[in-house]
Amino acid sequence: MERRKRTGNRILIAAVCVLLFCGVQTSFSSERIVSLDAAVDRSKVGIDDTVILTVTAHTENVKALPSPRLPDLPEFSVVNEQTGSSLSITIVNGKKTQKREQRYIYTLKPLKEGTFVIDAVSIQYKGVTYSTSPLTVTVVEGYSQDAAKEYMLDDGTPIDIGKLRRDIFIRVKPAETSVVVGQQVVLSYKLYSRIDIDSISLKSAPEFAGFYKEDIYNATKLENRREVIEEEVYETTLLKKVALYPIKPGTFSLNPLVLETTVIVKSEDPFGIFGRPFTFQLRSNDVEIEVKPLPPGGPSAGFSHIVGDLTLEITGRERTVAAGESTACYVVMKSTGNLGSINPPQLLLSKRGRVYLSDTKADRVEEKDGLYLTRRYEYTIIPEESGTLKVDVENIVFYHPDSGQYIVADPDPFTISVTGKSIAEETLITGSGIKARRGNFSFIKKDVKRLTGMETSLFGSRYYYLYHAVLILWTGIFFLIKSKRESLKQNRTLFRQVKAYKTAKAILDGAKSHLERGELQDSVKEINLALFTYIAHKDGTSPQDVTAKNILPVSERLFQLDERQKEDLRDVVDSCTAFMFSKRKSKEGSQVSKLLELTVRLIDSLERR
Amino acid sequence: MKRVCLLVCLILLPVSMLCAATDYASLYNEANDRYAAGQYQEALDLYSDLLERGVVNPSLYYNTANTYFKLGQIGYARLYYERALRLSPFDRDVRNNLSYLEGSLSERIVPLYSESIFKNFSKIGTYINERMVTYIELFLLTAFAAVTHLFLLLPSMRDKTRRWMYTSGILFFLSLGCGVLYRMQTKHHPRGVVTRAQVEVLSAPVEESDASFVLHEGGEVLLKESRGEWIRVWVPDGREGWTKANMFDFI
Repeated sequence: MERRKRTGNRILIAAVCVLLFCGVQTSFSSERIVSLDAAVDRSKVGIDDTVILTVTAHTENVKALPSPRLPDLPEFSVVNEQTGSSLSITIVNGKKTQKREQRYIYTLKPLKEGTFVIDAVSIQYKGVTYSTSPLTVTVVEGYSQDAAKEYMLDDGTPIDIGKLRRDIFIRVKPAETSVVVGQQVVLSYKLYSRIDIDSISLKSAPEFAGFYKEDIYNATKLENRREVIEEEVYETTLLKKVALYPIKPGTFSLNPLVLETTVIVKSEDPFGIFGRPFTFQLRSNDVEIEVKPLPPGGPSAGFSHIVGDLTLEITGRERTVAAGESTACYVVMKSTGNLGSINPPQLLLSKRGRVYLSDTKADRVEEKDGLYLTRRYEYTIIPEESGTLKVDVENIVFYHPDSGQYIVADPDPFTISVTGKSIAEETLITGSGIKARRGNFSFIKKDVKRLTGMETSLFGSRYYYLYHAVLILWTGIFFLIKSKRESLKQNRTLFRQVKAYKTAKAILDGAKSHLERGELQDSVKEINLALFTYIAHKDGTSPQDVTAKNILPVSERLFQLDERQKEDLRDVVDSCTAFMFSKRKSKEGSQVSKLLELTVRLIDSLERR
Repeated sequence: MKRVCLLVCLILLPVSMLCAATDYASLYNEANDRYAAGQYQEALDLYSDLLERGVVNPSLYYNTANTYFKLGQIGYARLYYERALRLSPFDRDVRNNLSYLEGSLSERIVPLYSESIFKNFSKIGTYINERMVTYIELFLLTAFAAVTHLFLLLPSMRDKTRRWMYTSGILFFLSLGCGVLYRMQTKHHPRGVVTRAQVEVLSAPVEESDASFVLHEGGEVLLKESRGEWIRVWVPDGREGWTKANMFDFI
């Protein structure tokens, strides 16, 4: 196992050495362009088609080749550029050669008919200029013989391109071909077809240089509307609809709309009855629009540059508002002209007030006579003066092409009743009287002997934090100590209550012992102490707090005594008092024994309660 | 020896402070004399000297504001009236002059909420400053501590004192919270005054953005947000926009 691993490592090291050797050899290889060729895919093309010019450079060990320089091509326009390359590496006797074929593909669109020479294409590399041979291309009307080869099915079956063009075509028709600057032109691109369409995709969209564009509709799928043209039934789809507003005068040719279309072509042979797909480019017809300048006589200033119909309306949110409160007014404009290029109109108030443009909403409505653009401007108005406030807009001058006149839009003003006191008449917030209203700027604060600074706030100062800390800490500590002490006291009381019976019993045992030893006086004292201790502990107080006078009320409060218990209690207290404080010293043991028994019975009965 | 040095320092410190205060007073009185003589620019120079030395005094602010007003710089006049009002909110002179100045601004900004209840709240708000908020909070803390002591020391009156303890505690913590909020608000969203003749407020914090509106000298704004040199300001009538921070002075 170990030996195999070592052998593997040796092979790896050897491979790395070989690769390094090759790399060193490669660095000494020469770099050059072996050949440069140019070719066109066809020598004869129709003016509606394109020709592919391919420039191929074969190089050796060239890492980066500069782009070729095309000659002047006044008869063609370059509509597309592509590049491609292939690479091959050969190692002969350790010498590595990197061969590359670099292709530059140009799609040229003929601009006019005739025979034209495409001059040499050149590449300059490391001070050497490489050139191709000139090429000749003939451009003919319609489709050349060569071009017609393109209109074949895969199996070589020719396609009647004329019939195909009649079966499927795109027609664009402007509503007007001669307009003035700013006047709306609606273009509709419609696809007509009476053959099966397999697929369709946009190749190039028309550009509308010189126009402001407002898209109305762009198709996302084919429709199946039927339309009859020259007694032929077609299925039609509206592909695109756009409203154009010319920006400057002149004659404008619009680029066509080009679709990459795949149709199902059926033939009469037995294998072609189900049809075969055929892909080609379908383009719309050319459109030319003449744009004339606006007629003279317009206003020197204040012209809105709206050309078409214009309606202007002012509305409001409410008819009555208090001075100082806000309300809203709306200016709604609707026009076939271009509203996208105008500024929001300025509101004019008949009384003092404030106006802000708070919202703008743009929309469009398509009607029979064209596309109407709408703008809804929302203004916030804060009237400051009471009375009737008329809200008007500045004059908007537009050109009406049908009548050929400049017209001033003059809507009815919106009237608002402003209630309450005018803002200007309000009293000042502080002070009263003329002095307060006028201000007293001649008065200044008097001279001082010392000018001291003033802390803006105690907050953040050390005293602020110190005061908080001391007060909160002291209060907290005091609270804790007090709570602890009260808790201890409460616990002690509870302990006494629980242990009262046992304590009393223990004392009574002592009394019994004294009795047995004939110490009658001590025995009576113990009996008395046992009763008073029991009652006091049950009450949560000390035995000193309970006296012969208050023992009965305290016991009643604690135990809800019955009559017998009351009598026993009185007997025990009275007997003890009599025994302890009597001058007659001779006491009989039997009497003390009875007293002891009575006391034991009393405490037991109280405990059971 | 160290103790002697410390003692000398402790004796000399109040003396030096007293000397500085007297020096400030002489400058201040001289400025007042210049003002009375109608030499407003000289008076302003002296007042500004005091301000640059860090003297924070409502009378100084008030006189500085008056001087600015006399020189026609109403933006700065308002700024210093507001600063004086912040220090002594009950000063009637400051309020009168500020009210007059507000009435003479080229642009009158009507607050977004102009109903009487909001006006009254706003008016009360002008009487509240940070010092007052702190005093209220300290008073409530003291009351809370005192009532807590009574509660602990007088077990027989606990039924009554417990209610007072809870009330004062709640009030203290409320005032503490309100104080924190107030300070955060004044720190992060300070009020500012337009000190330039006109300030163009833009819709976005880029030079190329559209101008939303224009503010005029003396107008009041509230700082909402800052991003580098750009700040978003809110005008009391509800408008908002972006502008450069150096166009305003904050109170």
